[in-house]
Amino acid sequence: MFLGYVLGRYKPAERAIPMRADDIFLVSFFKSGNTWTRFLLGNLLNPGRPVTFESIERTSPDIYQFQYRDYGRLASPRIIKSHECFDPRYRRVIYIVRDPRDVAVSLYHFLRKIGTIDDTFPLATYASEWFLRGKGSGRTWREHVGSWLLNPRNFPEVAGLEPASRCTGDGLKLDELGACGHGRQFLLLRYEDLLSNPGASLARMSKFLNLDVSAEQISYAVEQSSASRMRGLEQKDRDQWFMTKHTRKDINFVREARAEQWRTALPRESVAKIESQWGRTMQLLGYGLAEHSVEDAVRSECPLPKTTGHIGFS
Amino acid sequence: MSMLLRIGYVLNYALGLDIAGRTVAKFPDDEFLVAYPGSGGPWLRGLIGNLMDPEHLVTSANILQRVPDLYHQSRHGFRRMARPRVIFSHECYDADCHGPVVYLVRDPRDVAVSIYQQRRGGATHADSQTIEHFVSTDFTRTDQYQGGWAEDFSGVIKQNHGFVYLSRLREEFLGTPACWGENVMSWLGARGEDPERLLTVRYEDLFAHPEDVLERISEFLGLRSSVEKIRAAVQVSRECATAEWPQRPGKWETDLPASAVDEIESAWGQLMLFFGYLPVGPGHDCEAQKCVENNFPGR
Repeated sequence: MFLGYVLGRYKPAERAIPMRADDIFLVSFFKSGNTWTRFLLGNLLNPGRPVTFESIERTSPDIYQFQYRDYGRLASPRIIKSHECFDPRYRRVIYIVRDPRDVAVSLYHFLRKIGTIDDTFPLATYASEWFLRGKGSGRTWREHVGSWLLNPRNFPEVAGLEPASRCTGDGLKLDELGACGHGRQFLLLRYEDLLSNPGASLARMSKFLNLDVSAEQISYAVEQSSASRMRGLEQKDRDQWFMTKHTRKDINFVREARAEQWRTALPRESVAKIESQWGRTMQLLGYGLAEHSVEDAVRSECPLPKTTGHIGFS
Repeated sequence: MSMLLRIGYVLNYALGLDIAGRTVAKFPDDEFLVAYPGSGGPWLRGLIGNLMDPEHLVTSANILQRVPDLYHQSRHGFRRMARPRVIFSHECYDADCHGPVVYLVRDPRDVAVSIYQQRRGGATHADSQTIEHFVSTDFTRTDQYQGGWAEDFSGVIKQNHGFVYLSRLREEFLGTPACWGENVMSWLGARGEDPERLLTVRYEDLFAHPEDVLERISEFLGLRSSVEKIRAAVQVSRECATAEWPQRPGKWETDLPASAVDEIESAWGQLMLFFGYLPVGPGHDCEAQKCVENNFPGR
């Protein structure tokens, strides 16, 4: 270990990586479309060399896996994948957010895949006793999202200070979310919008990164990063990629890749619990609530910010 | 050179003497006191330390053993502490702090004055720098972090000069207090809706009503302190303060030039409004006033 440290052959602890001002960080909570986004960008930037699970750690390294020495060898601007909560050193951030009800379902299956829980562990128990408390993920969805979405303009809605919603004015617009102040470049993407129109989302990412790309290049990248193609690549590389190497092979890393799985997969009481704890933040992000919960009481006193169901970027 | 520094770090690591920093191993029962630099952190540490054990006063000689901070105590020192530990930091939001966090917030205009004075006292920077210059080049800058000015001013560098320590600073990482606004927002954003794990306390309230605020903190941390014990902790802290008893709020009114005030208010005015640091005028939203009343009852 000590020799590895001296030679730079070690994995720095999450935040201890040396940074560059032009680094681009792909940040999300777990199971929120980060790997897919890495494929999309990788295939856009390297059209002649389609991204695979074997090569992805070289095109957009995972901060938890990459070795210290190798970070210095990557050309700028580096694209780095991270699940970290707010870090002020991240100056260019693409933040991907996903409906927490779907994250709960996806993370549950991922934890089964890596053996943290077994098949007899009920999804309802996972959702209420693990997911809502951040067990198995080290942080909750709400903490992660809240730490990255707050800026002086949307305070105190995101901070949850009472009264958390504005009593006057038109409420908060979705494009006002994001830690975009203080000179940080910040792009908020919803996983659901990536799914419904991956080309448009990739075009937004390209614009954000000042890339001069054609519509054909974007279509090619989307095609090369389709869920079915990624599933095929996973089968091929599953014994090489660190994430799938020592895990169950009967559960795929790339699963259904669709929105609103929770409607059929997640027990109703789990949906109600997630919504009662994080409903306000979900609504800020345009995730409508299925269960009427504490939000009703809030709404009756002070109207909640209006949401459109889609991020209102022009 | 960098390899030599790393060898030095490894030796230090082997001896358990390396500074813990943000990535210190944390336990689920750890409790945290967090304050931006210049926000009264040492004062709060002394008060809580004396409240927990009034028989043995917190002094500059024992504060690292009683309520250690991340930037002076070694990993070995943290490992040796009895649990539950109370740990102090200047960090931005840290998801590894699973236990309760008391966040001390202070008017950023006073914070700027306090840091400027500390820097001059520590002589870590040229005396010629004016406070206006400090505010515009350092205080409202957002691309600095531990290892930059925030660390310089607090004297961490002074006390940790050395080959091995520098190896961590240059290539590695101790922490990230960031700027005042981002520090505050990161904690409130992540934990604002979780009153069981975050208690936000205003410096100004602690100054005006230390017993009342300490009672809230005691209840939050589960210390179950009696009124007499709280009163005694405040009294002994006042008499035997490791540093001077903190400055009266509002020093910025005399010490901070108008241009520097404008700069701070234009950067973080919207946040300051919700902490009650700016008057709520007729043009402001009604919720700002309600927000201050509801969230900071000690005013």
